[in-house]
Amino acid sequence: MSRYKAIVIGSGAGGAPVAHRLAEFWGGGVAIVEAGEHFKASDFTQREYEMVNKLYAGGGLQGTEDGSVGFIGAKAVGGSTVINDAICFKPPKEMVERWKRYGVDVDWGELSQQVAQVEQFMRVSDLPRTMINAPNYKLGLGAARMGWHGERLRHNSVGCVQCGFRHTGCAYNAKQSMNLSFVPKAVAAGATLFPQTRALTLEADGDGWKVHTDTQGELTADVVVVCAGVVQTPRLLLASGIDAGQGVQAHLSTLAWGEFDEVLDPFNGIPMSYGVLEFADVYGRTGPGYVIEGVSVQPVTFSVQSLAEGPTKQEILERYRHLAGALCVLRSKARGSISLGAGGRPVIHYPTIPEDTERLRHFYQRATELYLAAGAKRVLLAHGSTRWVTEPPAGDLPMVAGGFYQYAAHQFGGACRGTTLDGEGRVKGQKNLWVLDASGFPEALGVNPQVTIAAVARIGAERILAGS
Amino acid sequence: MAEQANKLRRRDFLKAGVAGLAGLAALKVGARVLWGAAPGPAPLPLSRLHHLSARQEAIVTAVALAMVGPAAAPAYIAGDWDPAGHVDNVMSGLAPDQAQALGLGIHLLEEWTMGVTGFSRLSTENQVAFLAGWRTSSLALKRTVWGALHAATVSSFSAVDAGSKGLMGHPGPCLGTGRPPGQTVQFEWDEAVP
Repeated sequence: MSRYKAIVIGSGAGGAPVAHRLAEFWGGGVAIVEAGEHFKASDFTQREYEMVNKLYAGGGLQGTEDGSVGFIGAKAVGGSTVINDAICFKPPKEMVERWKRYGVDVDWGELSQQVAQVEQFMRVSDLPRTMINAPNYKLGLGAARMGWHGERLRHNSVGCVQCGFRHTGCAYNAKQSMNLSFVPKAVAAGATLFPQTRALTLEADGDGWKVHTDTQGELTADVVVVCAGVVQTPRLLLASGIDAGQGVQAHLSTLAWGEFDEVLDPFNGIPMSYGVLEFADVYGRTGPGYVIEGVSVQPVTFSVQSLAEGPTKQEILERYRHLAGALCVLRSKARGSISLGAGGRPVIHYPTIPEDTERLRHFYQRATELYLAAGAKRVLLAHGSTRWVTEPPAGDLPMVAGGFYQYAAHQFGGACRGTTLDGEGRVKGQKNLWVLDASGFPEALGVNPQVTIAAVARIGAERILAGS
Repeated sequence: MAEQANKLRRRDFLKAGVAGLAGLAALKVGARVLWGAAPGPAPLPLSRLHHLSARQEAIVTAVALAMVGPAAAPAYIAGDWDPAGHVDNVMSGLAPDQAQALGLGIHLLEEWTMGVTGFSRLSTENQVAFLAGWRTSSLALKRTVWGALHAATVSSFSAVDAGSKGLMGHPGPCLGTGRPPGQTVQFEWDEAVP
């Protein structure tokens, strides 16, 4: 049995950068424990149904116990960066002020330095006009005609061939997800990667820790860093007798699609490349708190997003090639939780509250205006009773749980700084146990979080090294 | 206080009503399972299924055909689309208690109809209306069952040629097909768009 200096549990946006930084100092003293498989580019077949089942937590069906919110997660080396849209926002400065309310101090200068390094490692760049696909352009056009602030997004991809399959793993090694950026660097620095290895429980071992796993037995280390994501990090802490699971927040997403006369072929090109920040409450904006992002998806994903059955469903699917999609990324104000269910499985609760549904309705209204301004014939809402509209839906559009399609691709909390953790990521009351992923975030961020998660995680890694 | 008591009484009444309906449906499930009645024939061998019984397979198939719409039937008859197989596969990925709950939910969906006619024997129009009722139900159980069956059936249909190519016009993957990746739709960029 080897004893490591550090074991990092999880290899996503939090775990991979931590493992890399620690391995730069401790080399072979670092182990990465990852429940998912280590896929290669050739494993990503672009067969959507097969890949969703392989890559997504719960085969894409992970969600709240009442079925009202899907919680998207990945099971792969690289975590959800393998299946995300490669969108890179810098951390909003408002985050620093908001975190202070929880007694958490983030040094903006230090964070900015880490962001610069993370963006270099992840090879973040601006998207040129030539890489905006037709549906995303429609979003930009509508925003411009409405006089709303829109911009081309930044992404972490090099040599993208614009195949449209970012959600199911990049088959061309273009998207610089963690499995291609930080994980190989950590391994090159000497870290050992244990893929398909689930951490079951943690057990204190003097000043260090034993990690009980399903395939490697017991691994021991001086320091353990948990970065298993907002569902699995609290699950592991709870299973180890450590209080966690509260304060979960999400970016809630729902969708609207403009239907155009011309064919847009949303399956081609970069799926998400344009954003409307008019209604955000970050970067100095004081809107209701959501970003609208253009999103084009492949057939399997699209078929699930529209709530209908029978001939209505069929009509929606038939119009697929003519649709331009808009995704709402709402900084939710609800607080959910993760608890342990039968057999120790994580159970997700996330309430549907008026402060959120009112703003999701606001999104439906604004997205409808936007697409009509861009020339759409009508607009399809991911809503169960009001689907095709030719004018913004009324202010009394019912928004009850289950009555519209909503999911959370970005999740936060569950082991929050200020409650479960101290301000830097140490688990309170425990020695040498850290949480450095989004589950430590005390609040939802407001924009796609992968760069922020990586930068905050690297600051945590510096603290671990400083204290060793 | 009186208002609160009224609310409590109403809640108790509703709970009792729901429990009663669920109980009646469960009785119907029990009776049908005992009698072994199945809603329809299955064209694929039962041995491919690890969780679903023949009866559940038939129910899931009826749900799938109603869920996706008229375009689905030819693919099912041709054996190109196996919705029950996909639901069974989904159940393999669930925790045992969740798989069990979904299995029970499938039975309930068949039997939670008024009268003796189960879901699978309703007219297509009534099946669609019935499913819409489960989608919008105030009961989380119904919504959850609808959500799981909706996701498994429509996504699996959109994965076979009849769905992705035939209905939606998707050309398939780039890899292994010779289809070059990249944008195909050309458009002129309006300078007003940043």
